[in-house]
Amino acid sequence: MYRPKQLKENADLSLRNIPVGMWGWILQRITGLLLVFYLMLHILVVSVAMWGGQESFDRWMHGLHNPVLLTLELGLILTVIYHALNGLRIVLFDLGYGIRAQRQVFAAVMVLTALIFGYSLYVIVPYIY
Amino acid sequence: MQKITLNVYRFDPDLDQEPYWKSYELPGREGVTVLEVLFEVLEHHDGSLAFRYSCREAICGACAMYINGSHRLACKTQVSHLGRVLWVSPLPHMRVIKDLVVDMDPFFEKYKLIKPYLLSNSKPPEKERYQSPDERRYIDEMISCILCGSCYSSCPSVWTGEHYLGPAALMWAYRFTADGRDEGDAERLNLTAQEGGLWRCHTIFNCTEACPKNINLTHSIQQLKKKAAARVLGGK
Repeated sequence: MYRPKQLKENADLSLRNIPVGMWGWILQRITGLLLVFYLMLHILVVSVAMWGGQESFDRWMHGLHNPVLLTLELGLILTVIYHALNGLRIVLFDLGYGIRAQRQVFAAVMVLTALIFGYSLYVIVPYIY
Repeated sequence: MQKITLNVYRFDPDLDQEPYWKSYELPGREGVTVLEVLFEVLEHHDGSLAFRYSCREAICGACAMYINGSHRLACKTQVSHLGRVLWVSPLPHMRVIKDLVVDMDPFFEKYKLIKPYLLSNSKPPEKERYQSPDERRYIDEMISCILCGSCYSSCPSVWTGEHYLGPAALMWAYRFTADGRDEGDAERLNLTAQEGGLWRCHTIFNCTEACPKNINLTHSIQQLKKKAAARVLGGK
């Protein structure tokens, strides 16, 4: 069989040619990694805070309640909402529903994410500032 | 009609270190297809341009290319639908042999792996093996596959997993599983329900978006996943 001397791969790296389903997958991967990272950080911080007993824990919690970290927490909420809803989207496909309407299902996920995040902002923002 | 600007991905392993884009100004004409534009270059500008084609009517699957950001068949793509500037490159993420010709061997090797033919132990009946019109209608969509490789080239699981069977092979495995005359269900499930098979599909839908014959490959793969899960869980 003829084997070419040199083989080159050719990939399209422009973002505008990425279809919706692949955006869903990329975002799922990124939010998944962020959540793993957050979970480890969360366990580490809480464990360290508890070393000095209740007093130390309260001091740590007081220190963490500053506007910068609470604003970052909004990002955490958005990450959780998207990851959960897109996860449900994949489960739906695995059960055999909505495969022929995948673009609409993804649009629904984005709209629901926006709605729930909007409500979270409505509840949390007055509390932070 | 106005002139067409054609940008073609060129790479000759004997001459070039790196692939490059070459631009041609060509006369436009009503009803011209991308394949005809490539022929215009071949006949009047550069006889060294390499590309595959055969039937010119979207039934052989040889001329699948990456045209203006999508997987398309050059023979059935009207230039007028794409505007006056064309960007034509070989199927992405496949090894390029020369210019627009890619190495399709991995694709067909994986296709052969799932045994894409009738498996049956029973004695052939005197007349034909009967298939009802309803059963035939169910596999209609799947048998319109022309094995052009667009789905395979568009799948992120294929890009990152050398041993992944790919959308086309899995879709064909389901095509035979869904066929009432075929008795190889268990055998094909053994071949596909494993690490390099079904479970590498992450329902990204790139294959469905890329297919020039509008087949919903994800649906077929999902049906096969369902059968594999049912087998483990003791279902039907």
